[in-house]
Amino acid sequence: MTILSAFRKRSLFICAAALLTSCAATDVAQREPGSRPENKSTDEAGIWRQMEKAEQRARTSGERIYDKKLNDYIHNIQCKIAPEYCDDIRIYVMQRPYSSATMAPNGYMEVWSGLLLRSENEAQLAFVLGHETGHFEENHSLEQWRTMRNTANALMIVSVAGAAAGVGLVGDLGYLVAIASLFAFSREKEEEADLLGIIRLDRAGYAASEAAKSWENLIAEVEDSSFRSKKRKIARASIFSTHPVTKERVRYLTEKAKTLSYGTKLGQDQHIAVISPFLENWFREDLRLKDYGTSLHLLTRYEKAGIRPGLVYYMTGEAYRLRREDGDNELAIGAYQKATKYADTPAAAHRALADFHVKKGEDAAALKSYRVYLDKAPAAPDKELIVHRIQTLQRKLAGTGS
Amino acid sequence: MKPIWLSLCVILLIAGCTTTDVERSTNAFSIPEKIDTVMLVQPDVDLSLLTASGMNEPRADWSAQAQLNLESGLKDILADKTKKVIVVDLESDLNAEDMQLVKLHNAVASAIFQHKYGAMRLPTKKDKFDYTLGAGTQRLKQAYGGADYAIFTIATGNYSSAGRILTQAALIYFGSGMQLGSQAIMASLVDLNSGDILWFNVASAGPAADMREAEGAKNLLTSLTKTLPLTEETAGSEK
Repeated sequence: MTILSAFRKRSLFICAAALLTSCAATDVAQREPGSRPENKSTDEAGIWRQMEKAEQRARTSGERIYDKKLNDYIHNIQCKIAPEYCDDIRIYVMQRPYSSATMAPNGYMEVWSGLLLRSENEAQLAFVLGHETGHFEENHSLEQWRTMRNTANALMIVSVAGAAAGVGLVGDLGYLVAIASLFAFSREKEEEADLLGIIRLDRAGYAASEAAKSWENLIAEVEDSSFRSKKRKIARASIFSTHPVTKERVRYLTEKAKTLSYGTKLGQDQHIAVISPFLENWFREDLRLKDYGTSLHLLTRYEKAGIRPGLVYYMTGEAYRLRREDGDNELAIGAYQKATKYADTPAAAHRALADFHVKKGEDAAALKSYRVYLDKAPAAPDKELIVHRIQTLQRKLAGTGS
Repeated sequence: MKPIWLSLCVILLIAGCTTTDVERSTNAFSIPEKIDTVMLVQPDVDLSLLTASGMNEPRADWSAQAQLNLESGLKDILADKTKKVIVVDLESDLNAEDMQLVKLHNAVASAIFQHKYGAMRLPTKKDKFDYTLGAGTQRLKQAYGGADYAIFTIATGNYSSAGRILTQAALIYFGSGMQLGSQAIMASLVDLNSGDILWFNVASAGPAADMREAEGAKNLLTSLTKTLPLTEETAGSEK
């Protein structure tokens, strides 16, 4: 009994010491435009160098989108949002079908195609860029690193003390508490970046209400996900989650937007015009993720907005065709038929329709659609295959005398 | 790039003197006595401070200094048999297409670690060493003075902080222990005509081979390149 209470006293003391260490200052001053770490022996210089290497890999990555118009568009928004950091931030547009943007402490930013596809307008994209700028200007990466270091030190003190007491790694509870505090810090930073972002959004002349909108869109999209685990993730609140619960974000961003009334711009037309050439490619990539629930949600949003109906109906057909649930074939055919009414639908829409006609034994209709396909895509890579199919169908139809 | 660091760290378990473990291509190859041009890819160095709590703090100053030391050390070593050494700066000289070849090399080196040095040795590779980057390396030959060979080096590791050494002492006293820092370097010789990796070696740094110092880097490189075909003495060679 006495040994146990002695140990308890000692471990309490050690935990206190550990906590004190972890409270060592981690707040870093706001970043000066154009600043770089001068002293190469600091932790900041070490992190900067790692980020430079990562940036070089991104710069030469096979996933990079080099299109000048797209890059200039995003760069201009960034400089409107944060004119003082215009020269400090370098943006790389990556072909990745997830809604994301990342910011490194040396000014290297990535914007992913999935985000561009999901932004309804310039303002929503601008908010995300403002959010990332918030992380940059407040040196969140460095602060987070130092917090981790202090926490690790604290944990280590606990475990060494444990070894000293002969009880091995006694830090389980200490570990959990430390991890939780680590993530809480991270949530605070996300909220700070959100609020900095929305202020920048408004000041740059964009409608502040669009900040919450981009999160609302994401929530609605994920609610339609075909994967249960994905649906749970976005709503789950636990002390271990790194991002504030998304609904919570919508709430405080909506509240904040009520106090900001300077900006009004949405910029939908400009945004759609810039991303239009990439839509077919990006929707195709999105389908590869096999979450047809979210793909169809996104396509429905585009359909309701009346954007590129010929393409959107074709992609909708593809989503149903690939999903292959009960009744999806009919839904696919319906979508392809809607698509083929538009002159600008991809030629492949006609081929897709023809393939279904063949499956259903509707040879005359299939023949017609294959011919339209070859008409619209005379240099198609599968030309020989389609020509062969046309000939086979012609023979069949001649044979039956129809 | 991450898999390389992880694989390299496996090698770091070897302590003591600088130890090496060399592989040579089993495809027939021959190196001429005198070589015109060698493309020396700037050493890729990542050194960090291993703190008492087990965190690796990357150190830009150590990495930059070691990179300079290794680069000049390699140039000296090659000077004997090679007429010209072209140093290629990883950050500024390479365009996106050339960079893909460097990334490919790193991926192949990763595979070599796994299947020749690591635990997952492939039975089909047991008596063979025939790794290659493919003839696409000829674009590097064209871009860099018609070089016939390229040398890649990657170095990584950490150095224990004073705090960690003290903690280690304390833990030993209590009957426990922790790993102290170590550093390793790998080098490969690539034939830029065929893309074959002709020679591959890994060296784990001993106490006299601290690459942050010029002398230490020289010692480390001497061990590393002892069997490098470009510097081996051949019978009747001229100086």
